[in-house]
Amino acid sequence: MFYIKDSYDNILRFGDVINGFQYFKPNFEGLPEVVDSNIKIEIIKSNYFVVLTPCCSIENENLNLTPLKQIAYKFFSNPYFEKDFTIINRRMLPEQTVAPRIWNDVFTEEERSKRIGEGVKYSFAELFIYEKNDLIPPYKLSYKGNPDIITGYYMIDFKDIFTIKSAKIQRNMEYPKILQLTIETREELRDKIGEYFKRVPQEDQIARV
Amino acid sequence: MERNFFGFPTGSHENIEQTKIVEREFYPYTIKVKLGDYNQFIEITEVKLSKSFIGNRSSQILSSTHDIEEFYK
Repeated sequence: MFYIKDSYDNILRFGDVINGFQYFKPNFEGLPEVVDSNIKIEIIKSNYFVVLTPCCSIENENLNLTPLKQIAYKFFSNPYFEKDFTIINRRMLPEQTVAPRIWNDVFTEEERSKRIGEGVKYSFAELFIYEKNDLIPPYKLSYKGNPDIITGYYMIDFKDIFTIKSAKIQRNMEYPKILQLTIETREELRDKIGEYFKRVPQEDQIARV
Repeated sequence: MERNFFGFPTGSHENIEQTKIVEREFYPYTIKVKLGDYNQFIEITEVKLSKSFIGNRSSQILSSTHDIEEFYK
């Protein structure tokens, strides 16, 4: 089960879906030239946000949030994903990561062997899928003349995390949440976001040898 | 350059050996090697990651993640 179904309190926790915010993104257009004369503030509309401050660090007037976003149309090209998009939240076999057409016709024998040898790993390091639920409405996805798709799946992108400040944000603060993850799902989110930050690029791995 | 004892300025006679540094790619490394007059190996002076490796995104793919993003763009 992805979300707790009922009987949860309003104390904010890691992974909760909430609303009532705006997402402001400073855009430093001219980097690295004179940054203070080239700032734009983008307001990105989103109805839902996910709490990404670990439960025991929700205190001292600061809270990390990230917008709940629509998933990509092209995810539907992979039947393994289409069956259950939350597979993206867990480590998966290499042959599940792309559509069978790509696995069989685009990848060479050598490429397939190389990928099989790499074993079970995450896909899309920065993404975590949120299961469809009656409390977050379905939406329409369109792509270049292809048939529209209605879906209720959402996702968060760890690259979108931002911080809000409010005197109301204190330990054990209550807020009218929309959805709360189960302990198991929260564990998956914790594992994936932890992996996102602790990845070691090959450049560093090689330089360390 | 042909070795010529008299071609050196005063005071540098003791250091008449000519060396050169050549750079060679051994992907993902760039290695600088010091060679003597007759291209004989003297020493390795520097080993660093090559620019082409550092600039190549596919070479920076993180080992904990499947490299599939290009198929979902």
